[in-house]
Amino acid sequence: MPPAPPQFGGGKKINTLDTNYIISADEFSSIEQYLLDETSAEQKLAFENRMSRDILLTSKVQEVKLLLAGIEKASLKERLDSYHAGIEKMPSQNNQGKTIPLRKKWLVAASVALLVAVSVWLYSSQGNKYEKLYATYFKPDPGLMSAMGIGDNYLFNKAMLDYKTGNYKKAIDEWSKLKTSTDQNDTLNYFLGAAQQADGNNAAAIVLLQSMASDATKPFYKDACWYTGLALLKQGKANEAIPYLEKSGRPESSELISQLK
Amino acid sequence: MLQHTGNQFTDTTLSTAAVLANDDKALESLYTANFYKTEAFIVANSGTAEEAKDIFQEAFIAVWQNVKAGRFVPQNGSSLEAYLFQIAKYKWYDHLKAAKKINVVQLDDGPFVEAASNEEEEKYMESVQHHFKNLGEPCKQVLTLFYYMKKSMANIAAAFSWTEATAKNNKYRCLQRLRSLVVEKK
Repeated sequence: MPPAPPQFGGGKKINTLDTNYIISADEFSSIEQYLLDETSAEQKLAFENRMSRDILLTSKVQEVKLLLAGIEKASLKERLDSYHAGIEKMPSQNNQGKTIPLRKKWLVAASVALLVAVSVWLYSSQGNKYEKLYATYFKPDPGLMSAMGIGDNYLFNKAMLDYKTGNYKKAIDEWSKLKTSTDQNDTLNYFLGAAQQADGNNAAAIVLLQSMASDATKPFYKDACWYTGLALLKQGKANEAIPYLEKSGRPESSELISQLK
Repeated sequence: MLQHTGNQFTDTTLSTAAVLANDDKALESLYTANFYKTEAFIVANSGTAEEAKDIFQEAFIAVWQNVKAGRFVPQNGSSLEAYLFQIAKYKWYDHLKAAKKINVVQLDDGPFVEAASNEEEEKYMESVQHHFKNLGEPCKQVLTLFYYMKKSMANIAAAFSWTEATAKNNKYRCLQRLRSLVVEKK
């Protein structure tokens, strides 16, 4: 029976972490495949047999396991800081809790519930239809090819990478920082709008995209028309959406418009 | 798919799956829906908002690690949210005890204790986290995308406009650079 693989935080541990060796690319790859469970049952067994005979390999596996766990933890820490930056921008829930008396809170809650119920009653049937159409037709802009350069382009491309890998919040954060220094940058405004829309913030997206969709000389004019139209549709404003969708020149726009009329 | 009702998960099993997959939206919801409760508790017990942030993030990481290691599995009536708050509370009591701000006779950590790893391993992990911060953006991005966000090499290659072979090679170089920083400082 081969020994169980070393477990971080459990199982058999080596007392001293000896790291005085080189891990080649191939060796690293096989260790990583084992740790990430990307091997077949036979390969796994063979690898564990090798480990049982080779104490150095066991040490390397243990070290790589810690290295990967450390990277994952460091990445999580960075995400937590980003989540925290997000909640710091929101109004403090604590202050609300301290200052609103209980009876008033109930009144506020009841009013909100009533408003929500009425809104749902009024808009649910059409809203559902528009939501479904939006979900069918909306695909985030694929983004630009990015290459790590210098200066503002470097920062823009760095955020483009976040955008293209679905990390829209981070892209929004980074691009928003750039916006203060280069306010009239159409590319920046367009992709900031695209990221807002992909992150579900339609109102913010419309603010950024609509001005570009109103000026045929703008570089992303047709794309901005398409996405402004979709954002308006998501908000239930089909009549306002149609002119933008018509101007987008997208092959699928006429099909979508026919479902709105 | 995760089902959310506002900021609350409706199914703790699903939220456990989301933790295992490092689902960014789910983790953010878990964070934002639970921070204020911890902050209110800590501020009401001699702490500051800044201390609340640190303790909450430590607790969050502990929950994440314990879920991943299978040390915490939500049972009937328990949830990740309650577990997160419990850990944050215990961490705050520990902090107060260490700062001698209160006399804590005995605090039973019960199921909330973090599994101890040996000192060498702890130091190694801390060093990885320390050097990761200063690794340079492209390397940080590549490593985060692959090891944390679980993106495929094909996906990473496309995002950087690299071939898949280049992406794989760059990932290895980044790992080697990080490892050499960690090992040199040992």
